[in-house]
Amino acid sequence: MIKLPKWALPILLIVVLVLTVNSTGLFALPSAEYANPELVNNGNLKSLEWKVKGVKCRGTSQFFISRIKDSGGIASIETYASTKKCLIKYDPSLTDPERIKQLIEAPYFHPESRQWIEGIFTVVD
Amino acid sequence: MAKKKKFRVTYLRYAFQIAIIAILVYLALGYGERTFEAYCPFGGVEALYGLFTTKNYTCALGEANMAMFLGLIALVVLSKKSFCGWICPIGAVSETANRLGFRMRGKKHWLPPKVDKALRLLRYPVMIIILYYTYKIGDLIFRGYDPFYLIFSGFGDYALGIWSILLMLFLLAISFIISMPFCRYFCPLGAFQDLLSWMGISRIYRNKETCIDCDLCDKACPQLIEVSQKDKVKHIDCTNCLECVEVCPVKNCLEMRMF
Ligand code: SF4
Ligand code: SF4
Ligand code: SF4
Repeated sequence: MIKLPKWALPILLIVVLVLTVNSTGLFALPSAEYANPELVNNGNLKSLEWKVKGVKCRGTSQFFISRIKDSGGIASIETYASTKKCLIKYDPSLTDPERIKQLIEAPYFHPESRQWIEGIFTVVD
Repeated sequence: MAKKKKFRVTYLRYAFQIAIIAILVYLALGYGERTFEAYCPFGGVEALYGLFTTKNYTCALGEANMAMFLGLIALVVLSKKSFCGWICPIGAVSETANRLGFRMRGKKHWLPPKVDKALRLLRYPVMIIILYYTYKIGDLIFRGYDPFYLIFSGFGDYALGIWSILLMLFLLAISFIISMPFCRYFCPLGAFQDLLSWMGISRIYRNKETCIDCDLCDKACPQLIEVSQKDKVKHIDCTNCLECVEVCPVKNCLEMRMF
């Protein structure tokens, strides 16, 4: 049996916490994803990595994807709700970042209330 | 009786708890890459079903919850429920409230031992019900009742209005007369840790040759464990908070050992 000095436990806690926080990336999985089979293998795609306010769970991630996936030129989308990070690959001959941003932030038609509602997403950076 | 040297590890524990609360407030205010909820290890337990069935995280859960969950398992195996004693802000708040209650009224726990023992079993059905509905619905159904979410979100989007506020006030009020009621009777993360806590490899040992039966350790224990009656503390609720070690007047009578 090993006798532990009193400071052993705080040291152990700090070590476990630091390892835990630093290993977070190992468990990253998209909260939702989409790929357009017709575009995804196109060699001329460009990428965007945005932090989008409003992407906060799986449901809002799927809604985010539905807002832009059929707008033409979107090859793939990955969202990470816990960091709000969204990765978008697009064909620059069919669309551009300004247009994608507008689609993301635009008002949308809410079927239950049958009204146009202010967009729930804002591209932060 | 050999006199003890003074290095109060419990002050370090309070500093730890305050630092964790400060970090969580910082995250709750929107600074930092992730929100405070991302660091709840119970989120990792809630995420398991979704990961196995759809290979996705449920609702707002994510990689940090999973990392914290695995970190928690490592901690419980290494040092029992030290997460509760050193890290969890809810444990820190309710322990402080109970300490104040003890100062004001001279008694820590007003429930008879038999009632307390029966109520402590409640946390298992609570954990099972929460996990069942979270897995079934795919939503974090516990948020409206979860002190961690309610406090750090400032009774945010998923609070149940006045009911959540009343629940928190009730839990806080009874913490003055019942030692850590949420932890003892309702916490699903506490219940989950029980599965492994019994095997925690570092625990408190008492040297019965030098013990003077002063019972100070019993009075100091926030988990109401009768340390003075044990050779080693195997109790699943021991958080390795070291309050008993600190208060013991006999040098090396209570100490922490591994294996
Ligand atoms: S039992 Fe639950 S609420 Fe209490 S300290 Fe442990 S994790 Fe926190
Ligand atoms: S037995 Fe000692 S270390 Fe364990 S919870 Fe009680 S006071 Fe803390
Ligand atoms: S505080 Fe120390 S001396 Fe007093 S009863 Fe507990 S173990 Fe024995």
